[in-house]
Amino acid sequence: MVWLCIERIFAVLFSSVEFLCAFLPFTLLVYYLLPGRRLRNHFLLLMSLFFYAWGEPLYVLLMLTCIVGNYAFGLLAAAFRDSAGRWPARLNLAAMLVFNLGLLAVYKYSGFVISNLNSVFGLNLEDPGFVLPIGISFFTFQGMSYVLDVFRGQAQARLNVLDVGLYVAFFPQLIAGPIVRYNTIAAEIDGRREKWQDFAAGVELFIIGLGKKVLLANNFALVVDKILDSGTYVYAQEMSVAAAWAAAIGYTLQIYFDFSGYSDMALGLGRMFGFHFLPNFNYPYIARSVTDFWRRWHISLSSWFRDYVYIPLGGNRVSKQRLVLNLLLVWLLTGLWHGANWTFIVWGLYYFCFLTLEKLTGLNKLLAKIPLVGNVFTLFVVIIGWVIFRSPDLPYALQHIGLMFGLYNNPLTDEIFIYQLLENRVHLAVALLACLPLVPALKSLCQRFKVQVGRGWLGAPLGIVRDSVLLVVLVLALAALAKGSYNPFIYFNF
Amino acid sequence: MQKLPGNDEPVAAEEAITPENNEPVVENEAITPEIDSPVVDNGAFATSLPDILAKIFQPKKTEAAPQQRWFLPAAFLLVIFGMFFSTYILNIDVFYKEIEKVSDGAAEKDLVWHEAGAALVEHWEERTTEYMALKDRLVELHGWEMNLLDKHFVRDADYSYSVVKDNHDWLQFITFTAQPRQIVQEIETIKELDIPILYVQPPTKFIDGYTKFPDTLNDHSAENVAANFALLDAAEVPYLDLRQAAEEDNLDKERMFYRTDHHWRVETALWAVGRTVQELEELFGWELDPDGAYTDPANWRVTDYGENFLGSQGRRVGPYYAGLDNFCLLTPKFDTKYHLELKQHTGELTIYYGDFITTIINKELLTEPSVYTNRYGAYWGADYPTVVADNLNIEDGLTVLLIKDSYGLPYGAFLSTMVDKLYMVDLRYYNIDNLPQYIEAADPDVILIMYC
Repeated sequence: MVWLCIERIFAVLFSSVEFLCAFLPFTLLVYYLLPGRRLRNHFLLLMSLFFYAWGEPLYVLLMLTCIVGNYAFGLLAAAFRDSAGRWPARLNLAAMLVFNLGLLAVYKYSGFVISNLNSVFGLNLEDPGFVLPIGISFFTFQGMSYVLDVFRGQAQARLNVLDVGLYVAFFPQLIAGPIVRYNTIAAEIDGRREKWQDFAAGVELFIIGLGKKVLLANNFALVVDKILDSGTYVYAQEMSVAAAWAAAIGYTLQIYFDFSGYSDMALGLGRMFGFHFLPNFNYPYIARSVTDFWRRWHISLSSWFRDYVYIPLGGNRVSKQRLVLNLLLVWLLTGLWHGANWTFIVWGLYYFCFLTLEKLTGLNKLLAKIPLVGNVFTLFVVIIGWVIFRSPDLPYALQHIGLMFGLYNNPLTDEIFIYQLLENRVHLAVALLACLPLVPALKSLCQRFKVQVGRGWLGAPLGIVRDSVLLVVLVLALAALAKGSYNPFIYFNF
Repeated sequence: MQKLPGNDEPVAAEEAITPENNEPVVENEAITPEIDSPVVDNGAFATSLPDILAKIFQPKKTEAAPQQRWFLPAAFLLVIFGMFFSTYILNIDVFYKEIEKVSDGAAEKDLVWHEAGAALVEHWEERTTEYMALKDRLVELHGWEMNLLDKHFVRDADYSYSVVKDNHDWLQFITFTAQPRQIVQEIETIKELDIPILYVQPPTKFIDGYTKFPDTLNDHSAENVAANFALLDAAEVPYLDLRQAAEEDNLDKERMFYRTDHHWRVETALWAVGRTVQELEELFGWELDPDGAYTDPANWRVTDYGENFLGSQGRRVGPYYAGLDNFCLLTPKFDTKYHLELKQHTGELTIYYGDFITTIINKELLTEPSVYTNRYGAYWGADYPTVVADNLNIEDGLTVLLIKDSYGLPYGAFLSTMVDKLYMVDLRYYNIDNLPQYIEAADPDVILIMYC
């Protein structure tokens, strides 16, 4: 099942003792002792490869292959871009797509394709049994982003393969994103300046992300896994309506804090080394329409598909029929990107339906004018979507949704729901508050009243409170990691 | 056009158009890291109150110099470098030795390079868990946090060691469905030795009708015991169910077990020996304690060591989750003399001679100040593959062979005072294939099995 992690991969997580107490301090120490940009970049690449090899000693070769391949394609793209003919450039582009998508097809989708061919056509093809390399969906997409940006003339090809390596393999975003677009950090590979202010901002982001992941997401993971309990509860149609909703909402919270937490940590780590990645989440659960939701959720992925698939196909400057087809393709690919399972494809198509509906009817603009209705509607759609996303197969998803609406004459509530609600009441309250943009609101309030946090009679105590809270979060997260508590990570398998 | 941080090249206008509408993303709607950016316009919760307040007060916007933050980043660096130094640098020899171990192992097992790499990673992770600085303090903090949040379930990295707080605030491990022990499955082999056998089932910490777990958690102690009894019934081997006996004798359930440990209290073990002696008399006519002196609590000195025992379950969550246990040592007031042979795990034999306290009691485990010390192990000091306790004050008495686990530690100690010779075999450390020969060599009068 896609949300399960291989246990030994725990060490590759930012939220692990090995990373926090060994890898990160060692990397920071040596990095800042090294003179010169070149040495520092080479060191970062070396540490990034080590980081990947820690969890995937064999597949680090695959990633190196991806780096070298995209480096070569990038050079060719630059060469052909400057030459007269279009066909060599397009052929090179096609070869690059075959190369990167081929890696994905083999390692991520071959088993899925073969099992479906076998069941549809009654064949007996052997599943090659490839193990999914960690982060393959992220680093192949980054590789493609590099070559595509060079092809379009939006970036210069790197002459040094190590620079391409650093871009593709840089450990903060290597295994779980955000998908960093090459042209957003191209200048920073050589031209960044590490500043203490950035470092401090990075530390804050990292701690926030760590807290989200370890203190919130991991707790909800326990709740959801306990309620759903290997599926027998669902298949037996015994789960109460409330418990079914609790599992769905629990997963909604788990996946958000898990993924956004990891993204925050990635952004924070990037900052510590002078890189400025674009944020990946913007309080998605306050969205007032599905359209709005997808402007806030996994922004790097949706913008990747927008810029490299949707807009080249014409975007929305085409006929309505063509627009619908464009959206269908984008959301089919989005679903597929998430995993080799029909549930992900259906999940992608599920959003295609709502987004198309909003686009064609202007529903999103109407919902934006009625915030509460819009928010409730969007959350409803999103929560159901997550049920499909999490389910191991479509029948399970339908069962779970059916239980949520009492279609199996299941009871309204049960002891399991009541126990989980009481047991997790504090986490639930904190999580709901954390879904709201309270911190930006507070910052805005401070800015409007000229209060600079950390300075002045009001700002200084606020700064102390802020930093104390963050320090407490860091220590509590470290305590949870020392305990060796439950530490799954959902997006690891993408 | 939207400038993105990190480069000076503006993004082309068409890239600012989202697939879902035709409106370009305006610069002040740009999504920027939450700690730097002004509030985005479409965050309804974020703008309504400031907007209202701004309209009332209309402050001027001024640019302030960027503030240098020191405390948080300095504290962060202190924490991670402190942990780095104390976990890894101070123990660098340990981590280095793993490289040698894995290299040797790789050559032996003919591992390829990436398999050796994976093995090395696994070893380093295990050493990290073992040598992590301040681990106990951090676990205690986590336990404190769980208690503050009123959590009744604290998951462990190894799920079987997850701790549950039951309806009496006792700590419990979850007992999963398990196959009967090999000794029970192969009881016929032991029966063939033609020595009387009595299976002793100790009370379980999950007491039916008394203990309640949070919903979604199920304890399978009763089912496992029933499975054992079914096999014993089929083999016609008698058993003493101390769970039932505790009900009959109306034992104080609050005082039967340690709150933070999975073992019974030593006082309960003494009562259990008394019940065993009664059962042996009823079944086989042996009178180990004819006047009840040996098992009378009044003949045992109680030394109270206070609340300084953190049991096996408590050690997983720290003392702030459920507190500490009070540990009392029972030692005989009557005269005792032993010749004791303890077979170590290395095969080495350690011999003691003296009274109960000198030979059986490990004082270090009682006087060591750390609450993490396993006080329960004070009887015999630890679990050994085999122990032979020759009670020199009893001649021509019964020879008992006790097949035990850790429940047998105080139980065997108390039993040893009323038998001639006590053999104890711990099947967790003794190869069961060699058991029949061991039994034949010991030639006991009765075999007690308390291994469940």
